[in-house]
Amino acid sequence: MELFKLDPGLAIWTWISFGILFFILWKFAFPALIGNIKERENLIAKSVDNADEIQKRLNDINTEYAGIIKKAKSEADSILLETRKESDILKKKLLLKAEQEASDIVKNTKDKMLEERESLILSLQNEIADFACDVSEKIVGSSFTSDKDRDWAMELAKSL
Amino acid sequence: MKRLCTTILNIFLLFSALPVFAANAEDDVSGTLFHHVLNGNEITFFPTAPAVTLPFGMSMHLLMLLLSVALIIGLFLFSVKKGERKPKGMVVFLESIVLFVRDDIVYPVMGKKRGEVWLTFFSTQFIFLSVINLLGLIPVFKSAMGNINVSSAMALMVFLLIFIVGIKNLGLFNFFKNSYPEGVSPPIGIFVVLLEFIGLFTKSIVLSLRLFANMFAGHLAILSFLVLIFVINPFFGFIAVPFAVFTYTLEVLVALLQAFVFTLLSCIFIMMSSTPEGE
Repeated sequence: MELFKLDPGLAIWTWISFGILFFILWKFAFPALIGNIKERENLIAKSVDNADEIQKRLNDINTEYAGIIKKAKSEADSILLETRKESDILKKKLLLKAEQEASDIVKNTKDKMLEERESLILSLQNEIADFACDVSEKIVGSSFTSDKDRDWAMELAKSL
Repeated sequence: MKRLCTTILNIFLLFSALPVFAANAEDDVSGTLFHHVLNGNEITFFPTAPAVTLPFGMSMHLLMLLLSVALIIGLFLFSVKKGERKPKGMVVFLESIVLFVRDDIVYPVMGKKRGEVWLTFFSTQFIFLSVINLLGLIPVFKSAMGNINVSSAMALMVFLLIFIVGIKNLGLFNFFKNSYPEGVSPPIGIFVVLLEFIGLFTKSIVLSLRLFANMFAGHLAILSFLVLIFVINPFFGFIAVPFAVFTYTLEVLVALLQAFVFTLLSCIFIMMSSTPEGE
């Protein structure tokens, strides 16, 4: 039957054709083709590794950043607390000092007022004594200028 | 669009072939069918044109083999360049074929280490078979794999490789010992070894027959549909031609599928023969 007719020549030509094709592709085409594929795969793998590394570093930086922020916040809180405490103490101190100063001022003013009063009274007594001497001179007609007269006039003014 | 044009062209070529069938079909149906499928040393460029005898006593199937080899070599050598970082056009297509063979046939069967060594061989085999099968679908050409001698030569090559690689990897003694079941009496053991080798031979024959039968039957089916027009009724063309076009489309799939199956089975057989029992 022609369908199954043996043709060794064709079979040998099949091997030769395939052999030539395999040799040429193996020698010239596939090294370049597979080399290019491998090179690209390596490049992609390297890029993926780099991207992973960058992602890892970014995560580390984010963690570090979050840590720093947390630390800064806690430091800020503690500073704020400390400052509040110090300000309270300072406030109390200032208040105390102000109260002290105010009481001092009041005391000084009182003292001064008393002094002023004393000096006013003294000056008034002098005036009264002078007036009494003048009036007595006018009434009696003799001079009341001696120290004894003066002391008498002063005693009189003080007794008023 | 391209596919549509190809289909229209094929329908045109099928119709233009009708007068030629008509001349012979009424007298000898089987002769007409086989004339268009079997090997010959004449080529008909157009159905109504006279046949041209091939030079150097070359047959059509041999021409198809040489044409496929030239086409593949041309495609590879003119498009692939070393150190190309951004491949485009044909290189992308060729790379995708090699990657398909690598990732879907060679690496899953052989693993990466051994697969790298065999990748060139199986890629060449897959491309060679695909191109021959697809070229056979062009109306002027014939399918070389539809010739039992060509498909057997390919299968015989795999059969020899099974032995060569097996003996090289396992050693002559272990290669035969690999088939010998443990714990059985020598007569049974020898019988099993014999069966194993018959099995190897059968696998190769099946490999050859599968490829041959699929490619031959596809062409025969297309032509059978068309011949029915002359055998039954000219109006039968309204049914026969769509069926022939459908079968032709199916043949494109079968052409690639058979190349894949042949390559995959070759890979499995070679791997099995060179792997120690139990691994």
